[in-house]
Amino acid sequence: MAVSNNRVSERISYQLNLRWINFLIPVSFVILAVVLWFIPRMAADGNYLPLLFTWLAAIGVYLVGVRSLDDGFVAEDGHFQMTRRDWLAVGLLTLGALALRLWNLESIPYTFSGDEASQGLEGLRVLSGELTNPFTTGWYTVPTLSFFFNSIFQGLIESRILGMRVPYAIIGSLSVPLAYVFFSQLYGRRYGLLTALFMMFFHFHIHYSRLGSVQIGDTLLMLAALNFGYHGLNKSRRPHLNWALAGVVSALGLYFYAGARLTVLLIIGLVLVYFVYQRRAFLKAQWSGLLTFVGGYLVAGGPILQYARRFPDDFNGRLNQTGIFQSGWLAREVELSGSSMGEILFDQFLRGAFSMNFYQDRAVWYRPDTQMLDPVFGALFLLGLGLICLRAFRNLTLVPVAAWWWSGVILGAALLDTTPSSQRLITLAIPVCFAIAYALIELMKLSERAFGIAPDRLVLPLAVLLFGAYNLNFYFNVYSPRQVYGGGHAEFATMIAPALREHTGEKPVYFLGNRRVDWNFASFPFLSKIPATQVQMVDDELTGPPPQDWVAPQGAVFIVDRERAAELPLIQAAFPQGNLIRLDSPGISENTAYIYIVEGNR
Amino acid sequence: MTSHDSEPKTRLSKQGVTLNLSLAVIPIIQLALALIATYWGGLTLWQAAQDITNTRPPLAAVLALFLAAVILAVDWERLAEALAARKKRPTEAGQEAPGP
Repeated sequence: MAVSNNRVSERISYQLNLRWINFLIPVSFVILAVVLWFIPRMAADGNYLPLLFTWLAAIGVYLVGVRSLDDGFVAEDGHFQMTRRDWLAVGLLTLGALALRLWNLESIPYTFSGDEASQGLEGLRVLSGELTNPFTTGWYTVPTLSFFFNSIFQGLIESRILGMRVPYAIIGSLSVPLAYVFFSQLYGRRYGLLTALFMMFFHFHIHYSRLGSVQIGDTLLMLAALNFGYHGLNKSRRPHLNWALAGVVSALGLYFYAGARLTVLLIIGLVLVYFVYQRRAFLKAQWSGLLTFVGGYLVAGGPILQYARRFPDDFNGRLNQTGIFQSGWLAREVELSGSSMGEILFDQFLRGAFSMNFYQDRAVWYRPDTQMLDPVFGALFLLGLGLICLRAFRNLTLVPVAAWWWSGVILGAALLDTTPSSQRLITLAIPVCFAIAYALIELMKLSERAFGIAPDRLVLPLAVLLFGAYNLNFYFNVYSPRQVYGGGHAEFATMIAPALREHTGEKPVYFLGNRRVDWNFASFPFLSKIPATQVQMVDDELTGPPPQDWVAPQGAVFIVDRERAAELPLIQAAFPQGNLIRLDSPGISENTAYIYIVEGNR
Repeated sequence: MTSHDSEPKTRLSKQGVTLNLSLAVIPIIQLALALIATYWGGLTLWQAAQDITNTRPPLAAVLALFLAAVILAVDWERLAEALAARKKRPTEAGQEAPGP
C-alpha cells in the first residue's frame, strides 16, 4: 500500500512537473509578447510602470518554469560545496570591499564628474515623472533602465553624490566575494581567495566602484553570468535554472553599459570552444540547458532587443561613435598617419594588450598618470597570463579567463578609439587579478618541488600585503589628492556647489566662466540644484561696473572663474555690500573660484 | 656468474642516483630561470613605460616574460624522466635494438 501511495505521489508530482513545463515557460513568452506589443504603441510620456512590472513578472515566471525542469535532479558527488569557512571568507571579503569602497565616498574621488551628474539628472527625471520609459535610451544612448535603477537610491538618499555613488559601491563590493566563489569552484580556494583579495585592493577596481556610473556593473554581471554558466555546464546544481539565469543576467547587461554586452559574447564564445573540443557529446549533454539559456536571454532582453531592432542607430549609438570602423576613425587615421591599416590595427591591439603595464589610461574617467599595475605585479600578471594562455589549450577550465581577457582587449580596446580608456576595460580587472594569483601560486608550487618546502604561507600573505599597501596608498594618498578625475570643469562645479546651495535660494546667478563651459555642463545644475533658467552666462568681458538692476530684490550671486578674476573688483565696486568667498583647489587643476553674494532687501 | 650478474646492477643504481640528482636540480633551474626572466622582462617593460616617447613595448621584455611563462608551463621533470626512460629501455633489458 505504501509503495502504491508512493507511486501515486510520484505520478502526481510528474504530472505537476509536466504542467509546469508545459505552461509556465510558454506563458512567460506570452507575457513578454504582450509587453512587446504594448511598448511601440505607448506614448513617450505614458505610464510604463505596469509594463516594467509585467516584464519582470515574465522573467520570474520563466525562471519558475525552468526550475521545474530540474526537479528530481541530483548532482554528482565531487562538486564544490560552500563550507562554513567559505561563508566566513565571503562575509569578510564583502565587509572589507564595502569598507574600502564606501569610506569617504562623498569626497573620494573629490570631483563629481559631468558623466556621473548626467546620469544623476536622468535619475531625477525618473523621480519627477518626466522620464517614464525604461525600455529606451537616454543620455549618450545609455539604456534608460539604468537610470530607473539609480533613481531608487536617489530617492532614498538625500545627498545627491551619495545617492548616485552608493549603489555602484555596493555592486563593485559584491563582485569581490563573487569572484572568490567563482574562482574557488573553478580552480580551488587558494586561487579564489587570492584573486578576491587582489580585487578588493586593486585601485582600478576601487576607483570605478566609487563612481556613480554604470561601468562597474560589467564586473558583477560578467561574474554572475559565468558563475551561473559554470553550474549549468557542470551540472553541479539545477543545471537548467542556472543556464536560464546565465541568460537572464547576460541580457540584463544590455540595459547597462555597452561594455556589459561582452558577457553574452563571451558565453557564446565559450560554448563554441567547448563544442569544438567535445562535439556531439557536448551538445547531447547541454542542448536543453543551452535552450533555457537562449530563452532566459530572450525573455530578459526582449524589450531592449526590440528597441535595438527598431532603432539600431540609437541602441548602438555609443559604439557607432567610438568604434574605429563605424566612426571612420580608422580610415582617417590611415590617411593622416600614412601607416597601413594593418599597422594601425596592430598598434591598437598592443594598446589593449599592454593597457595594464605599458600604456597609460587616456580617459578623464580615471587618468592615474601611471600604469595600472606596478612593476612587480605587472610582471607577475604577464607571467600568469602567459601561463594561462599556454595551458588553456590542454586545460579547458582556463579557457574562460583567457577568453575574458582577450575578448575584452579586442572589443573594449583594439576596436575602439582613444584606447586604452579605462572605463571600457574595467571588466578586465578580474582576469588581471586572477592572472597575478595564478602566477604566484604556480611559483609557489615550483618552489615546493625545488626545495621541498612550501613557502606559500609566508609569500602569499606577504604578496597580498604588498599589493594592498601599494594600491591603497596610491589611490587614497597619491591619486585622490590630485583631484584629476572628471576634469577641471567638473572639479570647479564640485567646489562651488556647497556654497551655492547654501546662499543662492531665489537669487539670480551670474556666471563669469572661462568661456569653455556653460551651466548646462551637468555637474553644475546637479550639484548646486540651481536650474539653468536661474543662471545668466556672462560671456562678454565686463569693461565697467555691471548695471544695478542685476541685483534683484532677493539679491544676486556672482560666480567668477580664476581666468576672469580681473573683473571681480568691478562687481564689488558696483555692489559693495556683498560677501566674497574664495575657493582654491588643492589639486593639479589650480582652479580658483570666487563667489560674490549680494543679499537682497527682502 | 654472481659477480658477472652484479656488475650491471651497480652501474644501473649509479645511473639512477645521477638521474635522480639531475631531476632534483631541474625545478631549481626552472624556478631560477623563470624568476630571472620575469624580473628582467618586468623591469625592462616598466622602465620603457616611464619614457612616454616609447610608442611600443620593447620586444625583448615581452619575449622574456613569455619565455618565463613557457619555462613554468613545461613540466621539465616529466619530460626528462620520459627521455631518460626512453634511453634506458634497451640497456635495462640487456638487449640491442632489433635489426631491420
